[in-house]
Amino acid sequence: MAKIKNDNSNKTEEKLIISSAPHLRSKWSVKRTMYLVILALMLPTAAGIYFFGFNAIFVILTSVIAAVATEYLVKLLRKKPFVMDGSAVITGLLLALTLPPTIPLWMAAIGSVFAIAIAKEAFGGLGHNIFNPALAGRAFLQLSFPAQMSVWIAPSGFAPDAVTSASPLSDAFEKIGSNPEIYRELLIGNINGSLGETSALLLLAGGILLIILRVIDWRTPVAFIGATALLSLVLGQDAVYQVLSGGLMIGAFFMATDYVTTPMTRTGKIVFGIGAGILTVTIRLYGGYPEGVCFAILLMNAATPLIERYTQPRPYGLGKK
Amino acid sequence: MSGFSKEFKKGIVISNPVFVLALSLCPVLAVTDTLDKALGMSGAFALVIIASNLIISLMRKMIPDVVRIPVFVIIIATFVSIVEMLFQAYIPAIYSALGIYLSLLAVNCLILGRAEAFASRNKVSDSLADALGMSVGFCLALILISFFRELLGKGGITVFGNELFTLPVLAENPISVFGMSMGAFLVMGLLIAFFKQIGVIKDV
Amino acid sequence: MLDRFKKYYPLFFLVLVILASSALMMSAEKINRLVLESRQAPETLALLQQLFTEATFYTYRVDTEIYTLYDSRRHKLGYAMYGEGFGYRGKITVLAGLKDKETIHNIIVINQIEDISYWNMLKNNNFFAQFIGLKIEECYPSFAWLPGGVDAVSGSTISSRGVTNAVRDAILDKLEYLD
Repeated sequence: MAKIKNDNSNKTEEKLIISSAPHLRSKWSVKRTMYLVILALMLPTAAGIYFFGFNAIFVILTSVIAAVATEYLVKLLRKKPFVMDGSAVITGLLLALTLPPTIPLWMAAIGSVFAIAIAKEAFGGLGHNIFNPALAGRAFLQLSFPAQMSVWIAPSGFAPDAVTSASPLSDAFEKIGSNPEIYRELLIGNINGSLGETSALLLLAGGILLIILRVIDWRTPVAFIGATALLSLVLGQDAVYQVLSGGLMIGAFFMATDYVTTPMTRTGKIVFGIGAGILTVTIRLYGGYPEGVCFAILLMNAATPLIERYTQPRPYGLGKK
Repeated sequence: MSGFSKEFKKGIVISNPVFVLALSLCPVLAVTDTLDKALGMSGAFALVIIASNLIISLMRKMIPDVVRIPVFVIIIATFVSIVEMLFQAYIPAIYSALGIYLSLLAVNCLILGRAEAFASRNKVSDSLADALGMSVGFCLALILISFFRELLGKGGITVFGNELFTLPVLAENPISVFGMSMGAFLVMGLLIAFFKQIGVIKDV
Repeated sequence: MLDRFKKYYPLFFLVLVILASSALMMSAEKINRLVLESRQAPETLALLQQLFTEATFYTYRVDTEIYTLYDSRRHKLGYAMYGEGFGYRGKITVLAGLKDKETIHNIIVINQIEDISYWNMLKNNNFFAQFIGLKIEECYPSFAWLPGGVDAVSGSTISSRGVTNAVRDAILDKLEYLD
């Protein structure tokens, strides 16, 4: 890390910063990380396409293309070089995976444009954004089009006739008790819901892949899911159901582990996960929206600087203040 | 007369109350979700600031320094109450739509600020020009913001009950975020960014 | 003498300004009240006629806030009262009309800020028609969620509940004051 490119300057000014040894060169780069995440996301994407057919393909394509195009345009406007580092693709893909498959395509495109142009680039681009862009896009759509954002179809693959029904979370608390069959369906993903949130098993596989490859840290997802399960149990809910349904899996593995918008310290990651878990259960059970993962993570994003400040590790050899 | 036009022009672009000074954002953010409300608020604002600037400028030699702020507040609040009653009597629809924000003009920082910083120190014609310029600048800003908010948040433009036009897709599925206060921040921020980009507003 | 005057001049000036401002406001309010009173009666009647088309005049009791409506031959048509409930976005104001102490005649929504898509769901599913002729006793005890005779529009439950709560708010406390 000896050479750090000054972000505000043009390409002519590269500052050479001499730092103390050891000078390590990592094989990691933004690009490599991003493409590994995309690779892991391919699993739930494939499940979404398998279960929801052409609808899913169109929504994903629209969202990704809109995200990349917006990134290109904004970079042009800001007179900055456009780098195809895959972060825009991830934003578009993650956004599409949290949308209902029946959403009109122009709405998906608006969500992508908001995510990239406002939530990411207006704050200064990759590395400077406060909120997770994909989630900000989803929240924007949820607030703007509440009706279209809560239309769920039963998975029917490529068959043309789709049946509208309530999302499992929205009517879960009264009707469905603990039911092993429901658990199986939730694990596989053969259930109505957002595009890529249904298959808990494949999301778990993708998440574990990223943890093994050391792209993400295990602490956040474990704390997040653990806190959700524990609090649901304490409040007398079906914990397994709460964990497997809704956007918890994708949120815990792919969104709460975003490098930019979540704490860097180890304790901070755990605090972040626990906070998000508590907020998720609270919003799910007592809030106006059936799903709380999106807002929970966004709220914790806002608290990230504070968490980092209080969990800063003490440098070795320096005394307490 | 050049002084008059200079003071008048200043309020529209160079120190536009909303986009440059970023003052009195409470009414700007709260009442710009429809064009009607923005026009009503601009009208009330113009009446209050012109009247109070005029009176304060006329009395500037008489007002003792120690009680100047209470006197300004009383004068402004009087005009706000009168404007409120006028609105209630003659345009009740806009009166009820504006709600509390009409009364809140009494503590509007922009009006009080102009009274304290300008009208109490300058002669009557200049104060009048300042008030007129500020009103026009405020009105233009409100109309701009509310135009985009109503267009996107409602899917069409309706002025005093007359439907001017509607957008084909958005009318059924308006982007309702733009109707909320979050949308006001968004639209205002984007407009300021746009004005800076084309060089109307210069960095201070 | 002059010194003393100078000392108390600010106070004197402040009192003068306050008096002048009070005088101005009082005269403005007098005019305002005249205009409002001349306009209020026909406007309210027009609104009430949306509930009871035959209504030609009404009486209003300030203490109980109940409108009583009569037709041109001075037969009592029914009652009307305002109520408020909370929907998805905010307050919903409803004017509920009662035929007599037992039956709801009709309701009209005065003010609401729900999302258009949700509100259209209510409109398209004939939600409001359910209140016409609804017996109050039928829904009185179990008004907690939705009354017996009223079905919420699926997908728009919170708006449905807001309207229903507004109707409940309008009639429940006032039933005993009806004559």
